[in-house]
Amino acid sequence: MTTDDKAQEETPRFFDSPRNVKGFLWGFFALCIAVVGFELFRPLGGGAPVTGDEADAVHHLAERAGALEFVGSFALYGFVSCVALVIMGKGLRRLAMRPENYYDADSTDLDDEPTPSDEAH
Amino acid sequence: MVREPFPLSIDWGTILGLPPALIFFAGALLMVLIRGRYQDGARKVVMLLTPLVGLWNLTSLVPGEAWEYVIFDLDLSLVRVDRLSLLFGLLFHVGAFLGVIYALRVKDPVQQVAALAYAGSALGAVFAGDYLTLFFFWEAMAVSSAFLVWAGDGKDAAAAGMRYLVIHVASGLMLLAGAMLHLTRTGGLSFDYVGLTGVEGWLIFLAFGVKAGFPFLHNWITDAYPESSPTGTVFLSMFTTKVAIYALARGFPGTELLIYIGAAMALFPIFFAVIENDLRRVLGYSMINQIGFMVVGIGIGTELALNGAVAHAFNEVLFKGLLFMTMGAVLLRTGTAKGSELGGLYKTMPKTAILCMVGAASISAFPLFSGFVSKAMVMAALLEDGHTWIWFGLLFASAGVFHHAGIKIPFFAFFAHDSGIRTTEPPGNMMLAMVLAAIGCIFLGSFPVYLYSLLPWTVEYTPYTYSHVMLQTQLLMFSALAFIWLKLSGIYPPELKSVNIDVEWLYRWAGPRAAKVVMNNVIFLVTNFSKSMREMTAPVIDRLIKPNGSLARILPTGATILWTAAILAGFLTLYLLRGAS
Repeated sequence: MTTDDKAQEETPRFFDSPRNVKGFLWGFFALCIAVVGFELFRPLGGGAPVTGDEADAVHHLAERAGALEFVGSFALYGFVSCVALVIMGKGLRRLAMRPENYYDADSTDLDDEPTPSDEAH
Repeated sequence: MVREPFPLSIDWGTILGLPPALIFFAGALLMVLIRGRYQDGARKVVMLLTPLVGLWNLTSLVPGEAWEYVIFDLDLSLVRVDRLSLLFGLLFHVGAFLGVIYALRVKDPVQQVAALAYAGSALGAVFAGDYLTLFFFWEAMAVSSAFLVWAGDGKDAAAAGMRYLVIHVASGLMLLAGAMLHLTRTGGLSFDYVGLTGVEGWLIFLAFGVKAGFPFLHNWITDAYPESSPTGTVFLSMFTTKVAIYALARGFPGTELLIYIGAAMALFPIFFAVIENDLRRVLGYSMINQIGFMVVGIGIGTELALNGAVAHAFNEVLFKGLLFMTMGAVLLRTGTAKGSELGGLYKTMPKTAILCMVGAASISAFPLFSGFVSKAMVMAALLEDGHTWIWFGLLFASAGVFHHAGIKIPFFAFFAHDSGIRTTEPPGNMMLAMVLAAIGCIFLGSFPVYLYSLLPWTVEYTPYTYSHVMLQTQLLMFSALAFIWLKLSGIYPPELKSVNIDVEWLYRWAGPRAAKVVMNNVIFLVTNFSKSMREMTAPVIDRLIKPNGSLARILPTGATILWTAAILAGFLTLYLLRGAS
């Protein structure tokens, strides 16, 4: 059941068509714009939440954090965070990535290594 | 803590509640005893009934109740009922029930017994009112869950299980040592607020920290969980770390150090998660990240923060359980959970894909999903307490968790490039467990008032405000946009067959090598030393044991008794000397 032939025989599915993928992406981009747009049309009273709640994290933001007051600030923070995350992740890969059998291969090597006591005999 | 009764408590009149652990241990014992023609069916019935009977029993426990007993003049408490222990009690019953449904087709009695005993031990730990009882269940949890790690395939699981057991038993020993010091200092063993005072405070803190996955003590999670069986990992993900969160909330609320430890836990795993290939290990890293949020909440220590921490623990059992279930289903059907081997599974496992995305949306804290209503409490508490920089860090971690758990896992398993794998949906029982967990995630996220009514402290928090919903959506949508941009531009690192070294490198690579070098030199020295000693002492020994030598003579009975008495006297003297000091 896990052959490539089988995959080629069947009818194409939704994401097999580049057109659908493109449509999906454009739909997503539109949503992104809409989400920032909603911030412009927030209810009267600037940043005050609808139900007015002292514990609302975002409500406190304007007073305490200061930096994320402008429209689309959270969008920017999310975007920049993720780009930074991936770039730093790639850096970590250089330091930390090893072959899949890293620990197994080493454990067999360990037993084969000649040892001082072996040499002593 | 709130004085109102726990919403689940029902007055059954004269019926007295039993210790919750007892019911699960009885279930496990029954599983061992069941033999014969209908054993498979009977075991399934016992597996399903145990959490249900337990849940019924739980409703009869009323806050303020306790089961106390005395051993060696020590006042111990097997069960301490309050809103905090009841919340975790309820959570573990729900988790155990979902896990049992998911694992209903498993015919291996070892796994079945281990799962029930593990759930029972976790319940015993959260209801324990003293350190000795806590220690007993702490170690019982370690041993029973190790069997679930060993349920995985082959020698990798065997080795990982052994490392897991050693680490957890060590955690138990630290707890015991801390408890004994506590006893000598205070004269009692009752488990309440500890704080970082004295050696005992630090020992207990570290014991809890090992189980919670503090930085540098975290590696057992990402080492052992991906090695277990598809069903074993689901149980493993539900109990141990949540017991640790409970214990920290009980013993160390408001300990400022926890804010920084938690922030580190929320941040560092997301980098590993981005480059990790094994998707169950990605979930392990994301588990440390989520526990980080809870630990921060406990560190802040206000009512809002503590409520947020335990509410998030409650939600995490459901959404992380759901995510591990979907990855377990993929592993069961395809034989792998590695991102480099998977892709395109939405064609043949569409329902699993959708359920995985529900779990992904919940862990990422999308509005209407469970993470949204609990994580935000911790975030709000951070700002209220003036920890703005930590707040920025955790906002970064929130975007990061969506990036690796919310997008990466569903994308590389179910979409991405078509791996050519054609398979089927998992069996009905697994599907049912996933659907129930998904309903739980959506229900708790959409109607948070039910979750809030269970919380131990007064809740004054409204998650659904215009700005919260809108700004959280912005954050997440643009994180997704970043993923799309990085993927389309080819910057995103591909899934590669690889492992990434972490702290475990110290005890899996460097430690064995160092030990080998040391041991070889020790053996070399000992060999030479004993050789020269042999040469020096040979004539003396020879004289003693040769015919008519002083050791070869036949001693009269009286002399033997004399020698025995002398040895006994020696021991008694030593004993007396010890007593006198």
